[in-house]
Order: sequence, then structure tokens, then C-alpha cells
Amino acid sequence: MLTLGARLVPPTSEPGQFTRMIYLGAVVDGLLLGAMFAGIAVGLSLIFGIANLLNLAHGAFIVLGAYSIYALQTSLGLGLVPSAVIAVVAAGVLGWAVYRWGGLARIASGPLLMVIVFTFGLHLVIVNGISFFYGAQSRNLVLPAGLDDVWEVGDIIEPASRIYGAIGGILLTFVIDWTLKYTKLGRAIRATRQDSDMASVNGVNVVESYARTMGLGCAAAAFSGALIGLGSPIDPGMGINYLVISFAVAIIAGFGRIDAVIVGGLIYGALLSIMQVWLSPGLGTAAAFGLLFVLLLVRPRGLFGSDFY
Amino acid sequence: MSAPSGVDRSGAASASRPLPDGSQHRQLRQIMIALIVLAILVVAPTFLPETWIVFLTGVAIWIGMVWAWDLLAIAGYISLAVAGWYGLGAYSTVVFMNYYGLGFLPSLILSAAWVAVFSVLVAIPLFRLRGHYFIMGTLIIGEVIYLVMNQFRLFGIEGASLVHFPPVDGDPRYFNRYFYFLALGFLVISCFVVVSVRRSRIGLALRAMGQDEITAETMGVSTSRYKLIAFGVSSALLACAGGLTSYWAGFVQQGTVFTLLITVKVIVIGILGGSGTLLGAVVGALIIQYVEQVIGPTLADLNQIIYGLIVMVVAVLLPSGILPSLNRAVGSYLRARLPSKPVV
Repeated sequence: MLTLGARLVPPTSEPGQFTRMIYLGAVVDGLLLGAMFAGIAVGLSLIFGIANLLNLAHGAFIVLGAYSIYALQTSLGLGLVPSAVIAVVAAGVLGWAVYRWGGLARIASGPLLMVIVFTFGLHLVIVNGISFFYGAQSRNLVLPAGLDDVWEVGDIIEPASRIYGAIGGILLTFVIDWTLKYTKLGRAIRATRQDSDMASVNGVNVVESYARTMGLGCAAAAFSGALIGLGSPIDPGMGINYLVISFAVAIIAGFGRIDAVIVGGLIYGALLSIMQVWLSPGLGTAAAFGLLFVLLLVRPRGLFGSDFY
Repeated sequence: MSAPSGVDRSGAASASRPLPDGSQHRQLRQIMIALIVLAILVVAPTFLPETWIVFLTGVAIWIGMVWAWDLLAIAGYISLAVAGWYGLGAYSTVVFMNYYGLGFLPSLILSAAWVAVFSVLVAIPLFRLRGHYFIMGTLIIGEVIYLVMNQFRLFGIEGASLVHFPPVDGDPRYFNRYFYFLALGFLVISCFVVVSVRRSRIGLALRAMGQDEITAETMGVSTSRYKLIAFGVSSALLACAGGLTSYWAGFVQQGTVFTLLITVKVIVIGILGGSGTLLGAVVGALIIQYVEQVIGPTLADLNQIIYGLIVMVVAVLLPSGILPSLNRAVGSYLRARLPSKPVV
């Protein structure tokens, strides 16, 4: 599970100030991580909200994105940005192809269980395929200079990678939101979601529309895999952890609410960070999940959830 | 075992269609077949090679787990918290045996009892969720149980060995047979429990919920009570399976008993054989355990890849599972060949 680690805070004479600094640091940490979590969750939320498909392979696409970059960097010696572009496009095409040609289109409207089973099968194939070739140990992406800097503002000390991750997460969320709202692809996708029969009558290819949604969501997952790789080592086992985090964020925001994912991410990140500092890394995560469970019971559709995007 | 299509107790036929004279015969025939199979299994260790006995022990435990999971799945509730109850059962059995010096069976029963009570307490709020949200809720619960247990590290990071060994030492042949019969006993008990739940009002209500929960509720079925009973029974059986497996392994570790892979395997077996049938789990468990044994523990990654591929293919091509598809295929073949005779 993601742990935030002990913070290096110089001891002060006042115990109250020390505590305050730790919690202030935890909140800033959490908000920055939360912005990245928003980017991690946006693909899952998109696919669920539009195609009504619970994509359990979301975490696998995150791992796939990170490892594609690693593979391109180590075998071809490409830079971070070009390999990230290739990885994102490849993941998008793979997601699209799985929906269109891999059989997901056939079962998408069928029983819930089959979609879950299918996407979990996909998760197993991708994650274990990666660990078959690269082993289960963690790897580090080759990062450009400047990413391992530490930024210091007053008492707050943050690694630069975390700030870039946060910016990337916010950017990704806005790009997806913008795509849905203002592009032709986005309009077709929203029309399909609203009324697939009517969209079909008006010349939208419904299956293609869902397939592109899947592709877009998987590309977003791969991009967030790159963001994760900026700040921490990557390993195949992280997929399931990030899947659960994506669930958490998407549940808080309300599934399918792309514009609210940022808020969900920030809330979850801050909550997780505070709980982890207050209790302990493991128990804090469990407590954050406990609160999430309570939220799910009180508002099953999340804080901003509605039936339609 | 080559069973006629009538053995399938999926129940759509047996429960909803009252057959005044046919059903009695069929029920009797099913019981007879079950008893014959049981008799064969009881005498089997006398002539089977050792590896087969170990293989069948594993198969029996997995079959029981799939039946337990399926009890809830027929109501349309897919639980991803299987590993949570399994792991709690495994852990608490070891705790009762190591720290309180209880025997195996008392520990197992105590574990099953408290896991059942605990899971029902968790399920009371959980059942306010439906569909996708229920699935996510169970995933979160499984993950939280794992995180909390991982945090407490009850037995340190490398797990714990059992202090009390089974009352057979020396010869591994006795050891294998001891656990073979324990697993067989677990299988018989879970068969009895699952069949009697499914044949009762509860099973009828669960199947009605699986088709349309709101209608069932409107017709006066007290759905929440039946769901809770099914959940408790299911998690008690899963806890038993966990306890039995940890006794068999002589070892328990949080990384292996709470892992999501346990849940995955149960669902894979259930889907492969066909959810809603008893024999389906048998077929699925035999296939999956065999595949696992052939591939071997050395290539664990490859193992999971093959799981994934099997599951994807089954989900697309045989969405109702191997056994029901086979059943249908044989039925339609017979109907085509023998149009004049009624096919049972």
C-alpha cells in the first residue's frame, strides 16, 4: 500500500508547533497526492459512467503504462516524454481493441458478473505477463534531472516529482473533461450514453463509441501510470492497490462525474494522509477505507453523483 | 464421473416447476447417485496413488468454497470478499489451536461461528448496496481485512507454524489420508448445508432475488433476512475451508491467506463450471486444480496468465459455464436425434 513515510522535521522547542507542522505537511502531501489520484481514477470513472462497465483491469493498464515506458527507455533508449506518448497511445489502442475485437462488446450488455470476470481476467493476463518478463521486483523509470529536487516553501518540504505528479493529474482530468465536452468524439460518446438508440439513429456508431470510451479510459490509466513512475518505483503488484484507490476516489466523487473527480481525489488524498500520520500507514489506510465505506452507505452515488454525466 | 443431465440441481427446473410424480423419482435418483459417488470416494484411497489423494483433497476444499460463494451468487450478489472470510478462518483456527490449546475441530467450529457472526454484522450495512456498488463494497471489505491483519502482524511477517500437529506422524501416507477424509467430511457437510439451504424457502427466495429483487420484495419475500442468512452460511463455510487448509499446510501467513487470488480462484472455478449448479463447481475445480498441478508452482506467473485467459474465453464464449452449455448442447442434440421420445 502507499505509504507516505516519515517526514524529516527539525525538532523545535514547542511540541505544539511540531505537531502542527507535521499535520500541515501531511495535508499538503495529501492534497498533492490526491491531485494525482484524480488522474489515476478518471479513466475508471469515465468507463463506468459512459459505458456502464466496471473495468477491473484499470490497475493493469496503469501498470502497463508505467512498464511500457520502462521497456522503451531501457531497450530503445528513448526519453521519458516520447516513450510516455507511445505508451499512452498503445494502451488506448489496446483498450479499444479489447472492447471492439476482444469480445467485451459481446458481453457488455449482458450480466454484470461476466464483465467483471472478463476484465479481471484481463488484469491477470496483463499484470502477470509483465511480471513474467520483468519479475516482481520494483523498477525505476529513467527520470530527467530536476525531478529528484526538493522544493521548500516555509516549513513545507515536498519532492518535485510529487508536484509534477499533481500537475499531471489535474491536467489529465481537465483534458478528459474537455474531450468529452467540446470534441466531436466527446459529443458522440455523451450522445451514446444519454440515449444509445437515438444516437444510433442519428448516425453514431454505438459500439465504436463505447470502444473509444474504453480506449480513452485505458489511455488515461496508462498516463497516470507514468505519473506514478515519476515519484516512486513501479512494480506489477501496484496495479491492484491503484485499482482500489481509483475506486475510492471515483466513489467519493460519484461514478461518471469526471468534473468532480478532482474533488474526490483531493478529499481522499488529504484524508488518507492525515489518517496515516495520525495512526500508522497500514491502519490509516484501513481507516480511510472505513470512512469511505460509511460514505458509500450514506450516499451510495457519492458526493456529487447523479445518474448521468 | 459421467452423470446424466438430470443430476444438475441448479433448481430452475426442480424448484419452480412442480412435477407431481417425476420430481420424486429424480430426487431419489440424485440421492442415490450422490451416495454411490460418496461410497466410491470413501474407498478410493485404497487403490488411488498418493498424488491423486493429495490432488483430490485440494479439489474437495475448493469445491466447498465455490458452493459457499455460489450461495450468494444465485441471488445476484457477487462477493469479492471471499479471501477475507477464508483468511480470518485460517488465522483464528491457528490462534485457537496455538494460543488456547484447543483441538482442531473445536477451533474450526469456533472460528466458523465467529466469522459468521462478524460477517453478518458487516453485511447488515453492506446489503444496502446493490449491483456494481455491492461488488465494490465487498472488494473494499476484503482489502480492509487484509490491511488490518497485515498491520497487526499477529505472527510476524513470515507467518506462524502450527504447534499442534495432526495425530498422525511418521508415514506421509497416513497424513495424506487423514486430510483426505477431513476434506471429504468438509465437502459432505457443505454439500448438505448448501443443498438444504437451496431447497428451503431461503433458496427459493435467493433465486427469486437473482431474477428480480424488487419484484421479490414487493411479493412479500423478506429479502434482507434471507440475504443475511446466506451471507453468514457462506462465510462460515469459507472460514472452515480456510481453517482446514491452514491445518493441512501446518502454516499460516497473512500474505497468502488474505490475497485476492483466493477470491479470484473461487470465482474462476464457479464461472468455469457454471454458476448456479452444484456439479459445475466439481467440474471447474477438477479442471483448474489439474491445470495448476500440470503447470506447477514454479511458474506461478504463467499460472495466473492461464487463469486469466481461461476466464476471458469462458466469459465470452460460454457465459453460462461449461456444464450448463454442455447440458444444453447434449439436450438439443438428443432432441434433434430422437424427436418422438421425451428427454428428461
